[in-house]
Amino acid sequence: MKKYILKRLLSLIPVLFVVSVVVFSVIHLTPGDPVQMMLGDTATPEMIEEMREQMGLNDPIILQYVHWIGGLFQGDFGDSYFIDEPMSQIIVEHIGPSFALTLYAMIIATVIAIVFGVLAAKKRGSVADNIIGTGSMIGISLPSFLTGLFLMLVFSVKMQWFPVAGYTKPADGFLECIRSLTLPAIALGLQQAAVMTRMTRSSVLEILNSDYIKMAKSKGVKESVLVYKHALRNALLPIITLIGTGFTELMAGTTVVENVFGIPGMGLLVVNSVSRRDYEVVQITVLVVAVINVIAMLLVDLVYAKVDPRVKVK
Amino acid sequence: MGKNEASMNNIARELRKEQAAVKRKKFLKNKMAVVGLIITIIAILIGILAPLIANHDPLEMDPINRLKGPTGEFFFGTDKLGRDLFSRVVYGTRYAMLIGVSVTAITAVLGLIIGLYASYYKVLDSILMRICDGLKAIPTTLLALALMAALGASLKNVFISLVIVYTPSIARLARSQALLIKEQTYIEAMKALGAKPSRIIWRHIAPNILSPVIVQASFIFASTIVTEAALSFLGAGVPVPQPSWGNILYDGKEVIFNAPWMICFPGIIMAVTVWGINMFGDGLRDYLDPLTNN
Repeated sequence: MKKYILKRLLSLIPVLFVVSVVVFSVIHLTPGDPVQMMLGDTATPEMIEEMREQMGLNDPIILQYVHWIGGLFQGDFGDSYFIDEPMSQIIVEHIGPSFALTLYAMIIATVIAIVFGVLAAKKRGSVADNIIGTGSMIGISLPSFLTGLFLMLVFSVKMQWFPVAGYTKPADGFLECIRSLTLPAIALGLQQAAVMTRMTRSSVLEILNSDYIKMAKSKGVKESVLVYKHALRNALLPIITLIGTGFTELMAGTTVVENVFGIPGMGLLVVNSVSRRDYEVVQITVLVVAVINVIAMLLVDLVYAKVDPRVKVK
Repeated sequence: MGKNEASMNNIARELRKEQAAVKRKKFLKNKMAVVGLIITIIAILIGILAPLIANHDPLEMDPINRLKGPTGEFFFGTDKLGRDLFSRVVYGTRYAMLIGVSVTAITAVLGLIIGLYASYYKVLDSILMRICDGLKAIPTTLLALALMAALGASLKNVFISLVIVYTPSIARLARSQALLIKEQTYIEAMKALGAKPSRIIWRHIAPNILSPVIVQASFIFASTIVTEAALSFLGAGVPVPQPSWGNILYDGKEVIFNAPWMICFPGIIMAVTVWGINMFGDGLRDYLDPLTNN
């Protein structure tokens, strides 16, 4: 196991290197002068030159990259031109709502997937199964921001059950916080729920058709015990992996959903920073999300290797 | 010998025809896939015929008719600048299809080339696949957004960003499929006979991995449309005032209390289109690639 973990950790190095190069390029491939864009039309050539020197933009590009990476390792994440706070604090402030939203969406997706996936497998070929099948196909096709807008239209504008937009911090009332995140979480989680429902159905079905289940059935084990104790437990393995990869999908989805509902997470931060040309924030935000992504995928692999030892042999 | 070969070829051709007919029947029996295909074709036709279908100029502002509900003249109502929503949605479909089709085609070809060569040359493989892994580590929307920030908002740059975003997934798939084929005995035999690598790659590996690549491409078609809409929604896609499903929906969100039709109409049309393409893709998979099903 140790050897496997080490191997997987080492394989992260090239991936993270490419990620850092891509992210670095965002500032440095920008056509035109990013400094000019940042300072606006009123900037004098001296101001621009001074800023360039300050940002190290006059150095050779390789050197700039080395400086940047070196800085990252020493905890120097650069500065925002717009928000007067240390970069690390900006990230910490914005990552909370994104995590809360992702977690909430994950719970919604998992509950929906297990309830409907098992139901569809148990009643294979029935009307319920068909409805769930069609429903999940529609769910897969609905992008989260569209679901979000529809939900907003019905539950915030018409019914007025939920706030149209905005976010309440948990410190200002836990229930209010949950309320402000409910519609975004449903919007974010529904597509994932659809994918996971299909997966759950097929993996439960596969196990229900296996010999040991037939054996248990012929012994007279009750249907509910059969499905929930024997089949679901074994079907959980692929579902666990799906929760892991789903986490990265959901984290990615927050970018758009946060902008629909005005939740001050990483997604809103990055979009706002793009529009105000605060490139250093864009860089760091994309980098942080990518690193979280890579770590999440690593954890999935490790958990999977732990549960299913066959993985390591490959 | 020559005559025998000819008759063998005939038999082979007949067999292939028969197989194709059976498959076609199977596809047509899959009603959802047929519906999906029809929806996809209609969407593409709307895109091509947009100037004939739209009954207003999508950019023309009409301050007197601001935020009007659906009427006989304005089928889908008007937006806050008095522009005809129906015409905007029709032209939005045009942009969606234009970007969807072109990105899918280029991505498929590029991904196929990268995947094929990566599978054949070890050194190339480790370089290209690390780049693909790195690109795939960044979430789609975020990567597209960052690229758009770097390149600047324009139709051409939407196209470039989406190609960069989606090529790795095709390349990965093409490579893994090609690696399987490469291990087959007939490829070894070709090598032993001294066939040139380019001949083996294009004449003997490529045709065998085409099906899964095409199937994957159909799903990328749907994803591209969604990502383009998301980018435009976030203000980093098709530049305003050109209509795109994404920026129409964004305008709709601004007036959600007064003009719900601005979300309903484009939203439903977008959802139906994406659903149709996905259903078609599902059917295509059963048709071309029955082994990888589920």
